[in-house]
Amino acid sequence: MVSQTREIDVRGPRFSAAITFVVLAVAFALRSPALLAVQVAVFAIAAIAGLRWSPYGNVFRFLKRRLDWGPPPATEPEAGPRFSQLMGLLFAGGGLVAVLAGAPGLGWGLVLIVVGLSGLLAATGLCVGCEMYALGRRLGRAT
Amino acid sequence: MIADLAPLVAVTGLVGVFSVFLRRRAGVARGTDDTLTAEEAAELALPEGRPAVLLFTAAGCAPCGPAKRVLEQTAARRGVDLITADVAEHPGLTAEHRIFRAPTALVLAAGGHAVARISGVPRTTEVDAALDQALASTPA
Repeated sequence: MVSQTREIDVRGPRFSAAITFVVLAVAFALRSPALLAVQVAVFAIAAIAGLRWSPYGNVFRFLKRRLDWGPPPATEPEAGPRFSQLMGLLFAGGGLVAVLAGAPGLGWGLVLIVVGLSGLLAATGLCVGCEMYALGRRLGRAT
Repeated sequence: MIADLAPLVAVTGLVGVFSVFLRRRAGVARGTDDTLTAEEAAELALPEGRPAVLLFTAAGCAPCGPAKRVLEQTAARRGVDLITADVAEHPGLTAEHRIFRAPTALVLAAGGHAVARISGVPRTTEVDAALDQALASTPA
């Protein structure tokens, strides 16, 4: 296991999920592949380069400093949320490919899954991707 | 146009309903009829003949810290022990008592009988009520 565990403010992923929810809901409503592509790029940067490069994460940190939101109520390791961004990339990216390849039903269906999960994270703090990551780690250690 | 938006409205509505359900349930003590065996009590080093609060935590669990703080304060005020168990270190216990999410707390009466189960960051009033019940069912 790589022990480089960066701790992040737990409010960051929820804030990012709220923006993701809005962006993808608008992309779906307008059936806009361009807006979907923007979100796919955001997922790709966060998943591949790390959350410190996440565009939404940087908006969060900027607002946090400017508006003085105070210290984090709790922190968490970056790995779970980063895995979730990878899941978002796979689903939204797969959706974009399907839309561009002429399968809009499948494509926008995949996008709706991401809309649902990001909405859930924003509203409750329950991060399904993080739970999957934690479960995978647990199962991996048990065997 | 309206038909185009129907799936989006449906997904958003489902998420909304589920979110309200989760938020109402978070931190609330639910009744349970679960008892830890003597071996499990030994594994966790539970105090004998006294109520205790058992908190399941996990690596990378964001709400576990706040949950632990609430329980530490309440347990100290009520004079009961708080035992924390990492789910990864107790896979058997976790499976046997169906701990699906961290943090999950069990409020135990003497003898390892769980009187309440709390998922998420516990509300202090809920922990107090559960401890009242645990203390009441403990022979003085």
